[in-house]
Amino acid sequence: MSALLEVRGLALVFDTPHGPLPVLERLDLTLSSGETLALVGESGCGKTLLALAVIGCLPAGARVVGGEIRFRGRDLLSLAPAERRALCGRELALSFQEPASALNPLLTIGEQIAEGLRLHAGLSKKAAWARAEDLLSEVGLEVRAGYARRYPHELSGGQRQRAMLSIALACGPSLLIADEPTSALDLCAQAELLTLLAALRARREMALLLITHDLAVVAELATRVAVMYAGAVVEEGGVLELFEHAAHPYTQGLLRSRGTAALARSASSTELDAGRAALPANLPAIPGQVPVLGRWPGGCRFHPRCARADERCTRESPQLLPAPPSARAPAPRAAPDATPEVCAQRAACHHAGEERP
Amino acid sequence: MLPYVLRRLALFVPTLLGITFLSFALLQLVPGDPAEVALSGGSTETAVDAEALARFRAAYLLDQPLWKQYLHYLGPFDLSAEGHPWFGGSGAHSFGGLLSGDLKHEIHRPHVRVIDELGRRLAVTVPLALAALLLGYLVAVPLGIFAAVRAGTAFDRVSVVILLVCYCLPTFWAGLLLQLAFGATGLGWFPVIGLAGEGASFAERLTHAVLPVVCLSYGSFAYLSRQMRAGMIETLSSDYVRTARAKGLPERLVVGKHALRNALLPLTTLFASAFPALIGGAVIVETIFDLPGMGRYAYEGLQQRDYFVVLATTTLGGVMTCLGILISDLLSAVLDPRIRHA
Repeated sequence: MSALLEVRGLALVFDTPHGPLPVLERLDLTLSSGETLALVGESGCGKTLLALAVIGCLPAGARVVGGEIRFRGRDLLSLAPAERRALCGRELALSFQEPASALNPLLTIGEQIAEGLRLHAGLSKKAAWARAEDLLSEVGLEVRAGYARRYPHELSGGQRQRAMLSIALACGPSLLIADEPTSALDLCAQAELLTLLAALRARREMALLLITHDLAVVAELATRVAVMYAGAVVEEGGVLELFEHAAHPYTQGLLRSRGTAALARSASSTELDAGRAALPANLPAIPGQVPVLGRWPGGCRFHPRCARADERCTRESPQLLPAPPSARAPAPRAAPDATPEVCAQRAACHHAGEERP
Repeated sequence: MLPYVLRRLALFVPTLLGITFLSFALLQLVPGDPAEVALSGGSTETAVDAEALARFRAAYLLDQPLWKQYLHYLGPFDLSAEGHPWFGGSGAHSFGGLLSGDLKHEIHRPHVRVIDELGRRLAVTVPLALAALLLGYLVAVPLGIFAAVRAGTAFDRVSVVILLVCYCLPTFWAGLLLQLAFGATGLGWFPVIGLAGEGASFAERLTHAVLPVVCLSYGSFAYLSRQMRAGMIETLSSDYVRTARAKGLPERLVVGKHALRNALLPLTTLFASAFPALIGGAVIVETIFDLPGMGRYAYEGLQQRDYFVVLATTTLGGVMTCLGILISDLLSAVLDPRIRHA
C-alpha cells in the first residue's frame, strides 16, 4: 500500500531584504491512508508552514526551493494552479488554527461550508445548504439551533473551531490537516473536540495530520508521531515507542518537561506548599532557546542545547536514520496495513544509539 | 437590521436639533445687522430711516429676544395671537420655521421663498452630486482592486502617479481645460455652459452634465482608489482569504466574494465625508459651468449678507453631513453583520 502523502526533502525559504531565509530544510514526512500522524514541535519550528505548503497557500514571500510533496503519487508542486485547486478542499483539506480570524466575518457559517460543496461537488444552492446543515450537525452543531444561518461572531470559540472543521470536512477529504485544533480552547472544549476528531477520523476513514505542540493531544489521537525542530523532522516513530524509548535528545527533553509540567500541576492542586518542596530543584526543561529563524546553528540544529553534543555535532548535520537497536523500542509494534519502513522509528542524531547521559 | 435602523434614526433627532442651534448661534456671531444691510443695500454711507428699520425688524421678528427668534426659526412655535394657525394664531406672521417647512423669504428678493429657491438649487446639485459620487466609486473601486491584486507591478505604479496628478489638479484649471478640449473650441462633444432648458430630452440633459460631473469626481478617484487598494491588500493577506483559497476557490471568487466585501467597509465610511461635500455644492465647478446650484446659492447669500439664505444653507450643510453619516452607517450595516447585531 503506497503512501497517501509523501514529503521528500522539502526546503522552504522566506524572501527577505537580506536574502532568502531558510524555514524548512530537508523535511521528510510520510502519511498512509487512514493513518493519524501527529506533527509536534515548539512554536516557530515550521509546522504550520509545512501544512500551508501542502495545501498550497503559502504566505507572500514564502517559497519552496527544493524537494517534493506527493499526494497519491502526484507531485503537488508541479501541478498547474487549476489542477491544484481542484484537489484543495476536496481531497486535501486544512482546518486552520485561530478560527476567529480564519472564518470570514461577513458570511454565514452555512455559506462558507456550502460554497466549497457547490464548487467541488457541483451541488445546487439548496442541496449544498442542506449538506452544510448535515455537516454542522455531524460536528455537534445542531440544525435546530440554526447554526448555518449564524455569523462567526455569534459563535463561541469551540463552536467556531467545529465550524472550521466542518468547512474542511465538507467534500469528504481523504487527508485532513488539523493545525492546532485545540490551542484556542479551554480544557473541557479541548477534550470534546479531540473525541470528535477521533470519531470523525474513524467514521470517514480519512488520514489525519495533526499539528500540535501538546503531547497530551498526541497521546490521545495519533498512531505515529513526527517531532520537528528548527525546520526539519528530527525523530519519528509509533506513539508508544516514541513516548517510551525516544532516541533523539530533543524528544527526550520534550517528554521530560511534560512530565514535570504534569507533576507541577498535580502538586499545586493537591498539596500546595508541600508539593513545591517536593518538586526537584532543577526542573528538567530543555535548556536554551528555540533558535531564531535565519540564525540556525551549523551542524545538528539542536547541538547548542544538547548535553550529548560533541565536536562532530557542530560540524555534521545528522540524517534521519533508523534508530539503533539499543535506543529503539524492543519490539516495534507494526500496524498490519503499514509498510515496515513507514512504521520504523527513525531519529536524526549522531548519538542516537548511546545511553542517556 | 430594523432595530439598528430605528436606533440610528432616533439618534438623528438630537443631532438635528444641535445642528439648528449651532447654525443659528453661529449666525448671531457674524458682525452686522441684517435689517440695516437689507435696507441700505449693503452700503454704509446710506442713512437708514429708523422707522423703516423698526418695521423691518418687527416684520422679521428681529426685535424679539434671541431665544424666541430661535424658536421661530425652528418651528411654528409662535404662541402669540399673530402666530401660526397650528397653535390657534391668526397666521399674521407669515413664517413658520423649519418644522412647517418655511425658511422665510430672501431679503434681497422678498418675493422669493428661501425654501423654494433651495428646492430649485438642490434639483441641480443633487443629481450632479450623485452622478459624481457614482462615477467616483465606479472608477475607483475596480481601479483599487486591480492595483491591489497587482500590487507592485508597473500598472500599480503608473496608476498611482496618474491618480496623484489628478488629485493635485486644481478644479478651476482642469474645468477650463475640459471646456477647451471638449467644448465648441475643441472636439465639440459637449456643451460647456449651463443646463439643458425646459423640456429638454434626457440625452440633452446628460450631455450638459458630463463635463461638470467629471470635474466634480476626478479628484475623488485618487483617495477612493487608494483606500480601496489598501483595504484590498489587507484583506487579501487575511486568514479568512487564506481559508477561501484552501477550499480551492478560484481567484475570481476569492477576490470578488471574500476579499471585496471586507475591503469595501472602509469605503462606506468615506462616503460620509464625500456626500455632504458634494451636496453642499462646489462653488468653483458651478461657477465655471454656470450652474445654479447649492454652492453658488450659499456663496451669493454670504456675499449679499442675506441672513435667511445663509441660515438655510448652513443648516442644510449640517443636515447633509448627518445624512451622509447615516447613509454610510446603514451601508456598513448592510455589509457587516457585526454592526447590524451590535
